[in-house]
Amino acid sequence: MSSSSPEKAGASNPDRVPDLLLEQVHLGELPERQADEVRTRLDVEPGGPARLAALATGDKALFDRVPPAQFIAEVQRRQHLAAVQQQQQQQQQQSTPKWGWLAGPMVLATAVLLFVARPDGPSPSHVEPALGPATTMTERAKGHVSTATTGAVDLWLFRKRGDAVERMAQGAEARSGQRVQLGYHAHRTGYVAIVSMDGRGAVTRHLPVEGAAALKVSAGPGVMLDHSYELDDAPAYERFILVSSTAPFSVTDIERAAKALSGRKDGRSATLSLPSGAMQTSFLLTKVASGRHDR
Amino acid sequence: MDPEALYRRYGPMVYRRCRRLLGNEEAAVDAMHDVFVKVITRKDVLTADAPSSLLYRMATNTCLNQLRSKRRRPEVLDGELILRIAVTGDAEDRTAARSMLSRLFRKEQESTQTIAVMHLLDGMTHQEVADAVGMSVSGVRKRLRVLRARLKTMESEDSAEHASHRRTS
Repeated sequence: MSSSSPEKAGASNPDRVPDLLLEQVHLGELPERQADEVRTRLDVEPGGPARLAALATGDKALFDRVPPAQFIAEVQRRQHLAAVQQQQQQQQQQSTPKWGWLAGPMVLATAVLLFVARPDGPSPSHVEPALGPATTMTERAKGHVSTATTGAVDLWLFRKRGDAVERMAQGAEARSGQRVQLGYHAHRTGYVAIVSMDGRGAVTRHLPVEGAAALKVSAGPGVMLDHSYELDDAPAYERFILVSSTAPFSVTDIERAAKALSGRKDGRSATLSLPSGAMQTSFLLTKVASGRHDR
Repeated sequence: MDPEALYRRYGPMVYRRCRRLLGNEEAAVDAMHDVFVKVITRKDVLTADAPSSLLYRMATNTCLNQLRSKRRRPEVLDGELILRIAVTGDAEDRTAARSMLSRLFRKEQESTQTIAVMHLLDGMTHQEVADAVGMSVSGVRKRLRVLRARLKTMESEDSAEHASHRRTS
């Protein structure tokens, strides 16, 4: 840093009105004299008046994208989640519950075949969460957590590291051999399917494990799928995609769409082609070279 | 001010701030919700006459924390944001800014990060930063001065270490 730092050192354009002042003029929250000064600066700034005018357009675009009712619902959901996490963390400090990791690990790429081979397996939606009631799914969440959500259904991922379990963050790095477990939380009645695709192009169905139709779910406690998965050595990424809808839909169609996507270069980020009215969310794990396995 | 009114009035500003720092619309919407969850539990925001500065600062802090975590979009911290910061000023400043900001995000307290970003990235004057963060101009200058001194110390240490490596290699 230069020792003779000018007042606006570092500004990409020293004459550009800072965004905060622009916003405050837009909001009418600057004293009139200061607002006049900002407007004068905007008048001589290339594109300055247009920057100010664009804020009103941007306001409307945001409300179209996130209507106030949706915003309020999401904030309330996060407040509730935070309260539950806090409560569970307090409980965790008083005891050391064991991770009830369910069935043995499977290699992700072959999970479908192994699932189908289980004739008596309970429907995942009817299985109590591995960690007890739904809220306990978050109790071991530490640091940054992430929920992928369609708004109607949340998708969570957990990973086992030694004796500990951590809730995975969107984009988290993962290695071959690590065990992950999926969970979901429906906020209202609807239909759900979960599939995954990897960097090798393999598509795996996770929910429902059988049948052609999406699983019907009701609002209620969160649910852990009844199997954990051992990540295979597919490169680049593992992407879990949850599709939800208020109407029944074909999981076969979702699998077909995922297979079509898996062959594309933008498979790790592009959206699935969905039935009308269906919503999707995805949870991406970035695969890294496996120096050692954290099992 | 009830949450819906707060969102209608300040949601777009918070969203735009998050989008600028995170460089991603979806991540910005996510961060915006996080900001308002914090806001709604803070009565000082809800009762302030003109809380735009406070909200802007909270949005900045929230985004910096996400960037610092290197979990959401690690490429942003190492790429876009740092580069946007680093294209500021002359060549000497660019190198210093890149080095300084990468260190800031690792070690410095939130308020100092916010001050640095507002000054270096947003181009706000010391006075404007002071108004936004609720500090005196001299306080802002002092924070930046301390940072620069700390940076020089780190650079000296780096140089000494580099020289040591060269001698031993």
